[in-house]
Formats: sequence, C-alpha cells, structure tokens
Amino acid sequence: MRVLIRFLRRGPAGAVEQKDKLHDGEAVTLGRATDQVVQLKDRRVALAHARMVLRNGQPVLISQVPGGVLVNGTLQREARLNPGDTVSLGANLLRILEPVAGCDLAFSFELDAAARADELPVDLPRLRLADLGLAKRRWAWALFLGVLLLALLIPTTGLRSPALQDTLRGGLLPDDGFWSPGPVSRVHETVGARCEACHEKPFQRVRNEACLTCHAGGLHGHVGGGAAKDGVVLAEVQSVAALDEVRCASCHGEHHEPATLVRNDPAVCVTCHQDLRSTADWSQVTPQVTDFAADHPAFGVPERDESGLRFSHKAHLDAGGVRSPVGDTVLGCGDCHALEPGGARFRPLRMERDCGDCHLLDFDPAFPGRAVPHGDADRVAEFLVDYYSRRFLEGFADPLAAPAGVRRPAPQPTAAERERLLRDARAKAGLVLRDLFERRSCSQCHEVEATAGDPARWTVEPVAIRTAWLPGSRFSHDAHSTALTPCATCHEAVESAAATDVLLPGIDTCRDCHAGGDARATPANQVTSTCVLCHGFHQPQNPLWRVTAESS
Amino acid sequence: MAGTGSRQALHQSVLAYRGSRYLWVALALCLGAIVAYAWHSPGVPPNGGTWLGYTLGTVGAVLILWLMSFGIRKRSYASRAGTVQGWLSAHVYLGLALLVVVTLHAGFQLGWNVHTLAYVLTCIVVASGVFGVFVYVRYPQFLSDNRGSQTKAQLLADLADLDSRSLRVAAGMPPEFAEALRANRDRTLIGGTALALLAARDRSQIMLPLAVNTAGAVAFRQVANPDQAALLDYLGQRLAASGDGGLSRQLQELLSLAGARRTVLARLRRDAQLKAWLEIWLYVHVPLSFGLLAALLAHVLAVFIYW
Amino acid sequence: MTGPHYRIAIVGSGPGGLSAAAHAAELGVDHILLESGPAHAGTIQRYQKGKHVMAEPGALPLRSDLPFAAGTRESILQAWHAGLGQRRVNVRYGAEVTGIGGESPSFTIRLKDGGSVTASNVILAIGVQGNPRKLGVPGEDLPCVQYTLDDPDEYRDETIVVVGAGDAAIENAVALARHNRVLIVNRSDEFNRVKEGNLNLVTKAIEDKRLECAYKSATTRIERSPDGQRYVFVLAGDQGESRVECDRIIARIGARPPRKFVESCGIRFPGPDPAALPTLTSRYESSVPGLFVIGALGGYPLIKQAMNQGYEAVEYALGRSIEPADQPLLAAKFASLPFGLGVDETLALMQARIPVFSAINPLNFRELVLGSQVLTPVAGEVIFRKNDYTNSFFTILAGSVELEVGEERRSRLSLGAGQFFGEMSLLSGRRRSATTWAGSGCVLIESPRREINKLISSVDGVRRVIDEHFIARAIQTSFAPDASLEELKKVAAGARLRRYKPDEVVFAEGDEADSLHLIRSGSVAVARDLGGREVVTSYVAAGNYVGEMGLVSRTARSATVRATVATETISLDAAAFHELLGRNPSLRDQVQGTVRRRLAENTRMAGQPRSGDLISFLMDQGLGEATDVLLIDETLCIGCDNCEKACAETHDGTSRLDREAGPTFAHIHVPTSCRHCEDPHCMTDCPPDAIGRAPNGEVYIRDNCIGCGNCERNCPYGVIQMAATAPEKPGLFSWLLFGAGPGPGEVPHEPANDAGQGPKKAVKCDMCRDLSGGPACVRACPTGAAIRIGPERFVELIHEATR
Repeated sequence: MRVLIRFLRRGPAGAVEQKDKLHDGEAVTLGRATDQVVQLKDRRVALAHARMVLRNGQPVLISQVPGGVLVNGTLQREARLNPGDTVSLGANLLRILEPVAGCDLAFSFELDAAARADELPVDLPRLRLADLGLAKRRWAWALFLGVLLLALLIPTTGLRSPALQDTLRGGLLPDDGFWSPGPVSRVHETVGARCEACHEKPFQRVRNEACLTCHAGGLHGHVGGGAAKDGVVLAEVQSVAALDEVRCASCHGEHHEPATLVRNDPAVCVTCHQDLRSTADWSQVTPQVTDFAADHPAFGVPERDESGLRFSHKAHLDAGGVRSPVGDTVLGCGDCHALEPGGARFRPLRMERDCGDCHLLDFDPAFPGRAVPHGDADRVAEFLVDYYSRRFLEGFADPLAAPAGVRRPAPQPTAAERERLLRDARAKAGLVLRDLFERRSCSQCHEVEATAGDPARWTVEPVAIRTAWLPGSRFSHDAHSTALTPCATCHEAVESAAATDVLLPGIDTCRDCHAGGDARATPANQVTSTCVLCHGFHQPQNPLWRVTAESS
Repeated sequence: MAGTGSRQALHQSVLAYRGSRYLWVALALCLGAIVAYAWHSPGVPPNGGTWLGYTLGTVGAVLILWLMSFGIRKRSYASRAGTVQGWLSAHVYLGLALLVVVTLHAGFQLGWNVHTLAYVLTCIVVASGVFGVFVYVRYPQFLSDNRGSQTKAQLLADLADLDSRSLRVAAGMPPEFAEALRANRDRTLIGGTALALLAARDRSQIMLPLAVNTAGAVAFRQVANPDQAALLDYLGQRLAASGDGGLSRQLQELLSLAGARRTVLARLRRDAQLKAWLEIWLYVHVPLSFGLLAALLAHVLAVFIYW
Repeated sequence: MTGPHYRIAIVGSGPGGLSAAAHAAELGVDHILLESGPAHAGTIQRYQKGKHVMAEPGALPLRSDLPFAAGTRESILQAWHAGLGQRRVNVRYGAEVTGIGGESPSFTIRLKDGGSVTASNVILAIGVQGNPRKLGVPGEDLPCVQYTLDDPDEYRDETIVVVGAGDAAIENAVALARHNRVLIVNRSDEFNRVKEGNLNLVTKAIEDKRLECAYKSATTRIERSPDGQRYVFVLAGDQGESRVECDRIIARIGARPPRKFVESCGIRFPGPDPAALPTLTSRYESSVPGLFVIGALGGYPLIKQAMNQGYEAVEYALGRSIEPADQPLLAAKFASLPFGLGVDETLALMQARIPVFSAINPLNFRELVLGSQVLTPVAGEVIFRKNDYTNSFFTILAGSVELEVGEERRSRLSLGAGQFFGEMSLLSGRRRSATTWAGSGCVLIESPRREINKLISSVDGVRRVIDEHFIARAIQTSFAPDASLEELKKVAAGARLRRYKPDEVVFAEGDEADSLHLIRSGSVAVARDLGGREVVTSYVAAGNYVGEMGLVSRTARSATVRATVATETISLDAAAFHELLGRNPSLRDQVQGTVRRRLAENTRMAGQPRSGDLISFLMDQGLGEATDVLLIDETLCIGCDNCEKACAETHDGTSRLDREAGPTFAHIHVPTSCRHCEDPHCMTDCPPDAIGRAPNGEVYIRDNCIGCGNCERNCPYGVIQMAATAPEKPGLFSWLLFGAGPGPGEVPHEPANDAGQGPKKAVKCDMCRDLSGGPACVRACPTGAAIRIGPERFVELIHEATR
C-alpha cells in the first residue's frame, strides 16, 4: 500500500511545521521501537503498538497491544479507518485525511504540544486488570460455547445417524457416553455403550419393548414357565390388567452406583397391594398389604403335618441323651439335618443316612450284623423267607449243631425233609417279621398295618416329609447364618413330641428381627424388610401367585 | 467496623445487610434440603432421578439462573426491585446454599460425565465467589489506609510533579544526573502484567553512569532499581564523594525527592495490587458461571434426551 | 455643536435595543441605534461558538419585528442581522454614549468621539454587563487591543499580552498559551483574589514556562512596531520600562458597572444595594420622563422579555398605549379570582390590600406577580407542612390562614388579609417551621424565592418589614409560641440581625455572656479549649439557638462558637431574653433541658478525641450547610464506581457525582456530589429561575435551564456541570453479550466538539426525584458503602465512624 504520512509539529509559539512522507509497503507500523515506520517518542506507546494494512481496498488498523488502540475515543483491537477518524497513541494524535490521489491512505500525525518529551506523564496505562486485555466477555463466550459444543452439540449429532454415532464412539470426540450418569449393572454389560439399545428415541422414556427384545415373554403378571432367548430366562406371564401400564424401568433402575437393578422400596409392590381390589377380583389373597411389620398376613402354614411318621423331636433332643448302639448320645439338630449345598434349604432326610445309626434293622440276635433293607414291606418279607430258607436248607439239623469250621459233606435231604425245612423256615420268617413290624423296629417310626392270612402281610403307611416350606418366599437358612443363630431361636423342636407338629416359626418370630420396609423407621437392632427381600416378582414356580392367577 | 453491628447502622456490610436476613433464608433452604434428603428413601441410591432429585435439581437450576441475573440487576440502574446491596447479600448467601442443594441433587454420585462437569463448575464458581466475598470485606480497609486521603489521580500527579521537580534540580547539575533521572522515570514500571499487579513486584530499572569507557566518558549501565534503591544508593555515594557544597545541596535535594518518589510509587503499587485482587476473582467467577450455564443446559437436555 | 435630531434614540444594541430599533424602523419613525461595540448584541456575540440559546420563558409570546426562537448563537445573530438589513435600521456602531442630558422632548446624547445626538425619547437598553475598563493609556484604541476573548483557539502562534490578574485574565492567558506565546501582566506581585483553581493553573503554567508573567508592572503605552505589521506593548516594572513586540493585547481588567452612568442620566434608584433596580413606571419609563429603561438593566434578564419591552417601549415612546405582551399570562393567572376585575385593576387591588407590596413600583410588582402563582385553596387545605423544604413566600390577598407555631408546646394562630407568611424558610433556606392551612375564602399569592429576594434587595421597605417579621416570628417559634407577634415586636426591637463569614467567631470561650443567638441561616460549630487545643464538640444547624448556657447560668461563655459557613443569626440581648423567660415560665425548663442535653453531648464528644476532628472535617466539606449529603464509608467501598454509572445511566448519560474525587477522613469519604445546601449557592443567580427545591429538600434544575452556567460558577463544591444529553446507547444486553456500544456509565466518546451535541444544560444531583425509591447511587452500591444522610444524623455518623 502507498501511504501519505503528514507530520505536524506545533510548537508553543512556533509555527506549524508540516512534513509529508510517502511510504510504500504492505503495512504501516506504529510504535516506540526504531524499526517502526512511524516511531513514536512516547512511553505510553508500546514498542510495536499498532499496524495499518490494506484489506481489500479498505485501510484497517490492527492493535498490537492486548488492550486495543483508542480509535475515535474507544479502545478497539481492530478498526476500519475512514477519513476524519482519529487514533490516539499516547500523546500522539493521528488523523485520517481525505485520500490523496495515488495513495491508498493519508493521515496526519501530530505530537500534542502539551506533550513535550519531558512533560509526558510516567507510563501508567496498566494499573487495572481491565487494561491488560483480560476480557471477561470473551472468556465467558469461549467457555459457554466450548462446553455447549463438547457436552451437548457434538454428542447430539450422533443421534442423527447410527453411522455418525459409531464414528463418534470410535473417535476421540465426545459421544453420548459423556451423558451416562453411571455404569450399567453387570448383567447389562452385554449392551455395552449402545445407549440406543434401551433409549430408542430421544426424549422418550425407555419402553418395555426395549427390554423385551432380550427378555422374551410378557412381564406383567406373576406366573409362568420360562421361555428362553439369548440365554436369559424370564417369566412368561399371564397378563394382569392392572400391570399393563407399568414400566420395567419403574422397578428396574439402571445407571446407579452401586449398581442395583431392582428397586427395593415397598412402594414397588405396595402401590397395587395396598388395595388389590382395585386391580382385579382377588378372592383368596389379602386385599391389603402395605408393610411387613404392619399388616403382612400370617404365613400360610398347615396346622398339622401328616408325614405318616411317628417321631418326637422332644425324645431325640433329650438333654439326657438317647440310647444308641454306642451308648447314650446327646443329639443336636445338625446330627440329622444338614444344609443343602447352596445353603438355601436342608437336604431331604434319608432313613439309612440320618436315622440308621441308631435305628438298626437287625432281626436275629444270633446274627447281629444282619439287617433287613429299609423301604418296601413286602421286600422285607421276601428277604427274611429267603434268608431262613437258605439257612435251613444248608444245615438241616440244628444249624447251630454244626461245629464251626468242620467241613463234612452234608447229607442231601430228602424231598420230604426239604418240604418240612422250608415250612419251618417260612414259619420262622413269619415270627421274625411280626416281631420286626409290630414290636421291634418299624412300628417305632411308622404306622404299620397287619393283614392276617397265610402268610400274614404288613403294610407301612407311605411317608411324605415336606422339604420346602413357605414356597412363596425366598428364605435362605444360610443367609440367617445357622452358625450364629441356634435353630431353637425359630424352631421349638425341643418341646415337640408329635411328628405332626409344624415347627415353623410364626411371622412374629420373623418380626423380632425383621422391621417393615421403611428404612427410616427401622430400629438399630432390626433389618429393614421390603417386599422384595422375601418375595420375587417374576417367579415361575410360586404357589402364592399360582393361586391368585387361577382366581383371576 | 461500621455495619458489622447487629443494630441498623448507617453503613452496613453486605454480610450484615438487614441483620443478614438472607443468611437465614439460605440456612432455611439448606436445612430443608438436608432434612428432605435424610427423610427421603427411594428404592435406589439417591440420585437426580427421584422426585426429590428432580425437585432439588429444579431448585438448583432456578437458583443458578437467578444468581446469574445479578449481573443484569446490578446494571439496570433504574430498577426498583430491591437495592443492589440487598441483591448482593442474597447472591452471596444463596450462592453458598446452592452448593448444598446441588450436592444433594447429585446424591454424591460423581463420574466422568456432563453431570459431574456441571457440578464441578458450580463448585469452582462458588469457591471463587467466596474468595470474592473475602476480598470485598477485607480489602477496602487496606485500600483506604494505603491511599490515606489521596486519590489515585493525585498520587499520579504527585509522581509526575516529583519527576519534573527532580529534573529541574538536575538541570543545574552535571548532565549524567538528568540522564539517569530521565532513564529512571522512563524505566519505572507499575503493573503492566497481571502478575506484576497482583504481586506488586517492582521491575523498574535505571541507567546509571557506573562505568567509564575507554574514551574516558561516563558509560551508562542498566541496573535493576526496585524501590528506587539503586538510585538512592548512587546518589548517596555521589553525596559521600562530593566535596563541592553546591553539588551536595543539590544531591541532598535529589535524595529527598527520590525518597518521596519511592513512597509514592510504593503506595501506587499497593493501590493497584489491592484493586487487582478486588477484581481478579471476577475473571474466574464470571466466565466459569457462563461455562456452568452451558453445562447446566447440556445436563438438563442430556437427562431428557436419554430419559 | 449638536448632531442630528431623532424621534427615538436607542442606546445599546442588545436584544431589547435591536427589537426597539426594528419596531421603530417598521413604523417608519426616524430613529438611531447607538452601539458602543463593533457589532450588535455584543453579549451574545461573546457566547462560545455553536452555543445553544434558549427562548425562555416558553409561555411568554414574542412580540417583536425581529425573529427569535431557541437555536444556535449563529442562527439567531444571523436572523437578527437579516432583520436589521431589511428594515434599514439606522445603527451606529462604535458609538459609546458617555452621558445623556436634557429632558424630553430634547435629550442630548453625548458620544465618546465628542459628537452628540439629540432625541425626543431615549430608550436605554445597555444591559448590566457594563463597558469593559479600558487600559487608559496611549494606544488603547489600536485594533490590536481587545477587551474580550471569544475563542482562544482562534489564535495560533501569536505573541499575545494579557493585561489583568483576575479570573478572566488567567483563564484567557492559560487557554491562549496552548498555541501561543503569552505574557500576562500583573500589577501586583502575586495573584490574589482569584479562584483557587485558577491560582494553581496560572502558577503551574508559569512554573512550567508555558506562560510568562510580568509582576509589579503597569501598562504605559502601546505603539505600532516599526515595520507596522505588529505592535509593541510597553510596560513599566520595577526594573524600569520594557518593550514587548506582540500581535495582540487582551485587556481583562474588569468592567465598569452601568449604575453610575445610569444615575448620571438622572435616573433614580430605590436604594444603595448594588442589586437594586431603577425605579420604573409600568411603561418602563424611568424617573426621567421620556427616558425608558428596558432589558436586563430594568431587571429583565431574559432575551424574549427584553425584545418584547423594546417593542412596547417604542409604542409608549410614541405616546400610544399598548397592553403588554404578558397581559394574557396575567389574565390566565387571575382567571380563578373571585373579584371579576381586569388585570390592571387586580394588580392595583393587590398592591392596595397588601402593605408589603405597596412600596413596590407597579412594573416590578407586575413582574413579581408574573413570576408568582395565585392560589385559591379551599378551607382546611394544607398550604405547606412543617419541615417541608419549600421556600416560596406567601401573601394573603383575601380570607385567612391558620398556622401552628411552637416546638414543645404548639399554639395555633390565624393571619388575615394583607399579612404574609413563609418568610422564615425564604430567608433561612431551612425547612418550614410551621404547618399552615387555608382558612375560608382564602386567596394567596405564592411568590418564588428569587422574585422576593429581588424585591428585598431593591426595595428597602419590603426588606425592613420582612426582617422584623422574621425576627419576631423566629422568637415566637422557638421561645414564645403563645405570645402574639405584636408583643414580640417589642422584644424583637432589642434583637439584632448579625451576619458572619465562614470561620468567623460568633462568641469566644470566656467572653461575657451578653446575648443568645438564634441561627437564622447557615450553621455553627461549638468548640472548647481542651489542654490548649481547640476541639470541636458539636455543631448546631440553622433554626436552633446557641449561647443560652451563659445566659441561663449567668456565667462567661463556656465554649467558642464559629460560623461553619456564611451564617446569619438573630442575637437577643440578655434583657430581652430574660424578659422572655419571665413571660413564659415553661420556657425556662425548656431552655434548661437544652442546656442539659448539650452538656451531656459535649462531655461525650470530649470523650472521643477523633470525633471533634471528624466534625470539623465534615464542616470543612460544607456539610454545615448541607441538608442531604452523599457519604462513602471507605472500609466498604470497593471502588466499582457503580454509583457513578447508576447516576449517569439514570440521568442522560452524565454522572452528577465523582466518587473518587473528594477528601477522606476517618474512612469517611465525601465524594464530589451535591450537598443540597440549606441556602443553595446555585440558586442565587439563575436567570430563568430554573433551580427549584422540592418539599423534601432536593435542589434540582428544571428543563427551562438556559445553560448560562451561573450555577456552575456559583457552586463552591463544584458539583454542577454543563452537559449535553448523551446520544442513545444500544441496549444493556447487546453490551453485556457483545460489548456493543459504550457500557453503563461510559461516555460515548471523549467530549469533543460541543456544537454537535445539542444544547448544554446545567446538571446536578436531583436526588433522583423522578425515580421512586430513592437515589440511584445509593441503591446501586453493592456493598452499602454509599449512604445519603441529613445533618440530623451527623452525630450518629460521627459516633459510628469513631467507634
């Protein structure tokens, strides 16, 4: 650019000296340094203070100092220069003139008479932070836009197309993962970072269908056998009208640290159960349950338990001990009852394993080792007949007469003798049987019935010992740490003489430790017990639910 | 100090405004939030998604918007909506309350996400605000003590005056003095950079005729001149050395002027320093609160985009 | 020899003279317009370039053959010039009148150049500026000598001699020195009797060698330089004579007030008071028949008035009668009156009925009524309340007025037709001392302070009556509520009105206690000698009394009392005081109560050594006469200047306060901002009477300000500035968000050329009277550092600040 610079010097009394200078170059630099096109002798001016350039025909002044340059009285970092504009640099006044022929720009340049070299005030332009070009506004904008871009705009673009989404997730740019309030629970890790798997549409709450893509089968109801998909089994359910609107998410919260998939506050169930009538005609369930502590119905346990056995816990748990082949022994619960592996329940009792040690099934004092098999009565009879027959046939004289270890050829009995021997054997077996069934062994524990005749027969009432109680709940003995709490805390076995006694504790016993669902109301020495603590929702084999479902 | 008294004083500090009524408002708010939080037991870990979470969130968002609107109220001078002092007082106390509200809103759940970003920004903004309150309450006293009854303009005028006077004295002395004094004036620095302002560091320099070059003429060397020490030192030496009564008198005059100059400079620096501290925190507080505004926007939208 | 004879000769070509001449020309009457200067309307010529001239009073219709409307100085002068041209007005410039002799119909007007003119009638329209004092040395008439300076920037690179050591001289010299070599010639060896600011200005300029000064020097003569291009200014100093070659000489050695001249023409004045106006008939005719006085000289400072009078004066001079231009205005005022009389009759009636006004000449009275309001309040209506700050003066034309006096014990008394009230506040500038209600059939004339002050200064009768009343009523209010004014007049006779300059001692500790002082205006500081050091112990505002202790206890003065500002007191001698005590037993207890209170106060103050200093500091800042002042507690002020911004933003972009400028003591900072003085200095000389006072005290400037700048000059605290309305700014948000335009409180750009900015008017703190909820500065202070308080809370402040 070609610039006309007119230097004016106005003395206190002297005339105005005017000196014109033509400058060619792409810029006019103004500053205190000697290399500047216009050198300003003013300490308030920076070494390189500003520069003028030609931007497509329009002369522009660009500040080289952070604070900006005073153009027409206002600090500006960049200003278009038009005739009449004034630029003040310290005490120097620069006035843009009407353009002169052959020049792109013409300005006059005057050193204020008042500002003679010695009288310029000390250089103090930077006494306030505002003078330092720190500008709140710019920072504010930068931060605002920056945050908006990174935290909102860029991730949002991913919503437009999956492809875009993937590139975002692939690359370094922030993706919608930045919006995740927390990791998903382990079971859902398979979903990974694919937010859209559950959040199908923006601004739409997670729909059940989203869950069902993996979790097949209806969810709204309490019954059903499992249909499987993706190896995740869930209840297949009969519909309960009232539950149709309920969202999975209303019970299953995700993204919570520490991850817990199921809500465990009473409200989950109580919303319906506080007034079941409103949902359907539930004839056989308590229409109103709001809290375990308050109004949970008593457990549905039968009065008596017809197991077909004769048994007295009292007798067995006698502190004095009970007779046994090895002398008197004091028994504990654990001697007969053992937890199943997994520890939820106790394994079913088996006579041979759990009673056999004391309750021997021998039948002939002469041969103590010998015992009848436990189980089918007829097989016992056969066993004995066979046993004695063989015996009688082997040594038809008094078998006891035969000296031990003496091998001498036994005389072969005649047909008639054989007849007699077998008859005797049967008779003998008959005696022993009657003795076993009616006097010695079986009848101690079993109801035995004899039928006269020849031979006479005995039948033992079938035994049915219930292994699972309160099937509607998830009760785990292990969780109640049998090691610490003695069985007696809940089961009053010591006092029970009859096998028909049901030794399950009542709900009150539970309530000794189990408070209601309101954590705030739970005393220090008790456990908050919400519905889901004992009851599951999606439970295929849950008699409670079955009952209700049939009635609905 | 005026205003700290509980009684309705003529001058009341922001904190004591109207018996610090907004302190009580803020405390009530915090208390309410905390009680609700303790009482509230959702089936899930406390978070922004429960009804309490949404409530606290809304309260927090509204608070943030209101707090930021202080910048507008402060500048709408014709506004009759309370006094600016009242607003500031409320701004301070409710700003602190905000911290409690958002913390409970977040339910202490933190992570690498937009939500935590918003939370962290809030914390920083409030923290900077607390610093601001501190300086606002503490520094004006210092400012006033330092300035005495003079204004900055007067101090500057004094400085300029001292310079021209010492130059006039130097006019009748060997040339190197005027040279040195001019150099001293030209190389006196106050502020200039944020650091210099905040630390009130004196990076001034001076050219002193300390060496004699080969030609035998005095050569000037540039030396650091914090608190005019170098100059005073030099003048002292010259005074000690000079036998000429006239010169000594002038030197003494220069010395006294330089001494005066030092005090004036010190005052100016201190003044600038205090003023800088009174302002610097705003350069964090304001921009970050706009960052926060954006984060808040993202936070709210994000929550509802993936509802 | 005598010059030509004219029907009408007009002296002075100000607005009045011009208008008169133009009308004469219009009527084809042979006339002459004599102007001493080189051009017409000298005063207006001297206004700065592009100054906007207002046309007040707006309501008054213009009656003149020359046009006049608000506009720039240039446009107005131009219009007049054209008018003169068209009508071929016979003007003679440079014709300074030295005297007027003879009588109608043949006056002889002697001119400076020796010539003279005779005329049947003379219209004197010379204004009050007077003629500048000439140098009175040979060569004083050379073209290089001028007595005024319009625009200092007009001259560049000249050598200029400024003669004089007054404010005008200094201002001119310093301004010129910017671009010229300037020598200022001072007769004495220092610059005394000049404004503080100007003194610093000139001494600094001289110290910095920007200005040369010749002390102890007198002008001897002025000659042309040998080459004839320039001039030589010869002055005699103590080193003998010295010559200065120069281009221009500006003599600023004051002006000769016109009164002497006017009197020399035989025109009589009512009194010696310099502010007095010549006695005139309602036809502007002076005590010399056929010699008319119009314009500022006649007491009409506004251009429009003068022009109308010029027109009318010509009519009168020609023996016609014409009803004055303001007739309709008066008619409108009187419309509500029950008398059903014409304007002139009503005026006559008023003067007849109201003794105070009887002494005034009809013209001044007309003027007074024009400026006044005629009220017909319904019975029981409150006219003003106790403690209002209004200060207008009321006279009762008909009916009666009830008022309640007394501090502790109140008693009502009633005033009848012809009496007046409201003079207490009028004179003291204090709040109203009593509440007044209108009686039945009440007709009042409410006259603004300025009009009455004009009367008081010009008509002795009025002053005397009002003073008497004031004293009597002052005594009545503070001592004898139930005594009648007539009784008190006797006591009042023993009372003296005393004036004190700032810091003047009213009475000193240890003096014999001979009198009690009722402070009529201003305020006093009470100081006691504590260990050889005089410590101010308290401050007493106008409306209260001091010196009672000595009288009651019949001992010597226990403290020294000084006026903090210009103060007027009424001193009651002991006898009168004791007589009062005698006539009113309860008064004794009351006074003793005061004594006890003060003793307690004094001891408490003495206990706080700094408080005394603080009081005197505050008094030095003019708080002694303040009614409401902005104070900043520096222990709270963060210097954000929000107060200034608020002020600017709520007042057309100009801040009326300067936070930083101003002294500080004990962390109490007194910024440069209006104190709303009891007796506002700014109100003393306001041509359009644009400065008003609201009931709750704030002194404000109305829109009819003509921007003359008198108030700015008169304010001792420099809180008034001349400013133009700032251009519209972009909205707050566009600044907040995008930094568009100047921010709050920022000036759009450096105050450059005034011409572009439209009319400049005086602006000052008006306590944001238009904003509900109090002053913006205080409301905008984020830290509560800024407060506004009245004197009644100073003591509280002092305790707080020194606690």
